[in-house]
Amino acid sequence: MKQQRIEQLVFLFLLFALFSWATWSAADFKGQARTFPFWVGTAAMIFVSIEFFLTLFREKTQKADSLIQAFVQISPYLLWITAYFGGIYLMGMIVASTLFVAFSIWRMGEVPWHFALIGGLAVAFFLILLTDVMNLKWPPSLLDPLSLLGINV
Amino acid sequence: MLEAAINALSQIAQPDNLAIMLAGVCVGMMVGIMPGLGGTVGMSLLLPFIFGMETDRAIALLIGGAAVIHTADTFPSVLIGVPGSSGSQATIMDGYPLAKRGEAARALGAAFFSSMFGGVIGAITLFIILPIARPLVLAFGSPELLMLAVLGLSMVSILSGKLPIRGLIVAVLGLMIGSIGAAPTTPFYRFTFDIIYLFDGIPLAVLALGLFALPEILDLLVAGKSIAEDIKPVGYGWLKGLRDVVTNRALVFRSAVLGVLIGFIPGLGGAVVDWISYGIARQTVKDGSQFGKGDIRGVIAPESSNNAKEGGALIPTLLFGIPGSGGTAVLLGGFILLGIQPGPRMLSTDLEVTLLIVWTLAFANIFGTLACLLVSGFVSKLATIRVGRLAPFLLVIMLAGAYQSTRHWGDLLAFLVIGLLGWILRRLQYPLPPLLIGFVLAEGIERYLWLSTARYEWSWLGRPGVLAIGLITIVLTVASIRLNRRTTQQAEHFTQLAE
Repeated sequence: MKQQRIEQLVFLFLLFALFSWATWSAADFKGQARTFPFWVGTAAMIFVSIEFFLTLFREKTQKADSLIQAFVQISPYLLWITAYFGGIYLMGMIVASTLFVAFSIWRMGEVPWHFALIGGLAVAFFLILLTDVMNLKWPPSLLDPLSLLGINV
Repeated sequence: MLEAAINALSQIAQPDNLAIMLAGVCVGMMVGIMPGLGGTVGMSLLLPFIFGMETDRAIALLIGGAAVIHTADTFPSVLIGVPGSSGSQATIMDGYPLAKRGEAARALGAAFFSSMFGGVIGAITLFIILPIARPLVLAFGSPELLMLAVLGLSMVSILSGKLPIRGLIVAVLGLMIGSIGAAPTTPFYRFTFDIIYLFDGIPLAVLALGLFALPEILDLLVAGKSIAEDIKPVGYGWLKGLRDVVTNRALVFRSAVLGVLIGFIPGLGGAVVDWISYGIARQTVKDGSQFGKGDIRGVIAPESSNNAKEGGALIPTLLFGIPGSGGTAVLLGGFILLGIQPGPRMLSTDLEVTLLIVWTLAFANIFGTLACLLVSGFVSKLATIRVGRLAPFLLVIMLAGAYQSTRHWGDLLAFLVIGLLGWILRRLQYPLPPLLIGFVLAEGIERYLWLSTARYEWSWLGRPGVLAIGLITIVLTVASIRLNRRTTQQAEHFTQLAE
């Protein structure tokens, strides 16, 4: 059996498990809260079952990379985004975004470091402008480097 | 109605609103220029920024963006032969050969001006339809509104292409995600795991951004390098393009009317309007032998209809609350966030808001065209920027936007998780727009179902309006699937001919 077909079937099995759990949980909900998710979950289980058998016996499979191969390809970028999240948690949105953009376009975009720095500072300016004009708020962080520098945003 | 129209015009003409509409136009233009980033991504990027905005400003921003995407998506179609969005595929057929002959400016000029006229005709049609639809919509009760939501949901089968069951699975997944949080009919929290963030449900902006924008960015990053490497010079010849539009004004009008009609049918618009318009133009114009080889009429017809379609698509979205595509689903969600409830109220208490949307649509099309003409030389080079240089900026905007939904860390985490889910679904060839449609319609379906059964028990199923909408649902679904299939075959035929 082709790799893609196995991945499709595993995904459908997981979806079936998810919808079964949701339907099971919905059965315990009180009064009117029960009806909608219960019937939606039941319908979902039927659709997933049909698709499972269709996938099992479908002759042609679409030409595409295997999901696992593709996931390996995107994993560095996912780590890169997770690191950005970590930066936001540690230093706050504005500082983390400045460093993230400057570092990313320097390494991934192969931009000279001084241009990368300008890019990062432009992002900081844009975010501060948004904060001021649109009264936007940013996630709370452990440290607040901007206030240490005497900048209140 | 005339007084409301004048009030709406005076509102949109205020400098603040015009400036915000221009900001929306700029974002729409940027999104249109980037191949792969379609209307849904554009709307998703704008949506988080409307929190806390006044209604007129938020509408200016959203409609400004939505109106211009199908004007700007002509750039990649003409200059690099890659569709900027699903609505500009047919433009490639003649736009790209024209660019290769050194007539890019003529093709772009014709495309922009026909887009502008098409968009304005779409807005005028929307304005004309309002008083006609008013008595019909005002007669609707909760059973009819429930059936209209079901009609919206039935469009999933059309948006699912060759794998309709997968579309249904994704749509019910959307309905299930939509049921997270407080139940609309009773004080009870569902699927929250006692996580406070989930008590109000997943915010639409987070879902839309995660589902559409993050997978797109990840795939572009993996593909690497720039979005487009070989780009044709724009050159001069805008006025020649304008003259082409004036010469072919009947074709512009005809294609625009066709665009409005197709846009009116939920689910059908985006992907097929340009091909239908192109096919009809090819068959009806005098000497269509040059179509596919660089005939300017092959640019004018699809561009006029894909902008006019926006006006048509707003009719079911505003009057019946039926989103026909991912983009209109986000737009509908945006209206709900603003406290605007699409449906009968749009023609009574919220009539001024409806007319504000009509005016914004008309103005945004005009400003969008002018903006595209002004910055075309510079902006067309954006598509050649390496993804590695662009993606960090886009990611910052996405996260900044996502966080404004509830201003909770959960927004960022949900964005990442939903993004990953969207990427997996896309990889496994599951269509994404049905999920968004299911999510947006979930609350309405549950509420109207409860209201209908509480008031009429199951006798509401025999109401004439319910039966009529049920019949329309079946007829539209069957007809749309057949039309969609025929258009896909036609598109494949044209593409083969061009190759």
